[in-house]
Amino acid sequence: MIAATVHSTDAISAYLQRVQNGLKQFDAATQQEILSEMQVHIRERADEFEQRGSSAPVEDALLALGDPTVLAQQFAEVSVQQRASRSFSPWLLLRTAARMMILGARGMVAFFVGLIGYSTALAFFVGAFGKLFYPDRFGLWVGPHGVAWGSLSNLHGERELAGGSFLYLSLILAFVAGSLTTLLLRWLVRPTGWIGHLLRRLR
Amino acid sequence: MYIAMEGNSNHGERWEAQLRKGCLDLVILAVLWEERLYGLEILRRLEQIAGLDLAEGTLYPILMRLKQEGLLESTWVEAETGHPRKYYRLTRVGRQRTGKMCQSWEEFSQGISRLLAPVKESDR
Repeated sequence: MIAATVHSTDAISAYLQRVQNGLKQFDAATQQEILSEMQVHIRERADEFEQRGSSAPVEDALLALGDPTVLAQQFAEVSVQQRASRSFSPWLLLRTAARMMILGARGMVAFFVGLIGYSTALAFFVGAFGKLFYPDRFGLWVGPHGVAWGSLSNLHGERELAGGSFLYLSLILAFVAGSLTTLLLRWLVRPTGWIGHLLRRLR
Repeated sequence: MYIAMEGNSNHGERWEAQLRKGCLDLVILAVLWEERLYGLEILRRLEQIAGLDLAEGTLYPILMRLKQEGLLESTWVEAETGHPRKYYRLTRVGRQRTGKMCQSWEEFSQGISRLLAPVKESDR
């Protein structure tokens, strides 16, 4: 009887250890809370299986709860959205927005805001570098066809307006576009933001 | 023929699974409408009331997400069995959201029922 209890406890510990291995992205308190809840669930399910006459109630309970790696992955999916809303990483924010696209309009808006915003920032950044290496080809141009920003291969009476300050102007604009996009994306991907509520209402 | 039939059967199961998956948030929020419940109790209620046999490992990550979204709150309560249980209940925002989801569901299901009426008629 004692041997069986020890074996059951070992089986639960081994299962929970495998769940914990997949919960590295959570802080210690959250990991502990998840594991405690799983442990209680396993014990209560094992009691149920025992009452039904199972010869291996703990094993049956663990089987019913499923593969610990898959379980941990499902929890990890939940944490990605929360981490992204606290992150300043464009890559993480864009990846989260892309995942959210399947959930509806909110995800779509987030993804396209990210894509357009970061592309704009990148374009300004490339413009700044272009001015550094090809000062005659990159600039803020004004001519018979209106105003143009960037590189012109053939000049048709266009005149460069910004001069050397084009480089600094482009860097500032790249920073502003990147920062605004990041802030907007953080709002859009957070689970409870006013834009999130607004978008859910509109959906 | 066998493959085609198997394909159709798989498609049917996949469709049903997708349908159930799409309703999970609503059914979990709805089962908590009247009282606070803990994980295993939620599973049992879903099974008894709605005939939903939800995979046990699926429930807890959903509860966690709904809590993060501010729709649920949880508290640990000491139980007579000796195991403390984590009880979930709807927040104010959660109740509002459940009400709206319920309304959307009603409109959706009524529309689908109207659409399916001729199919049911011809099946008789």
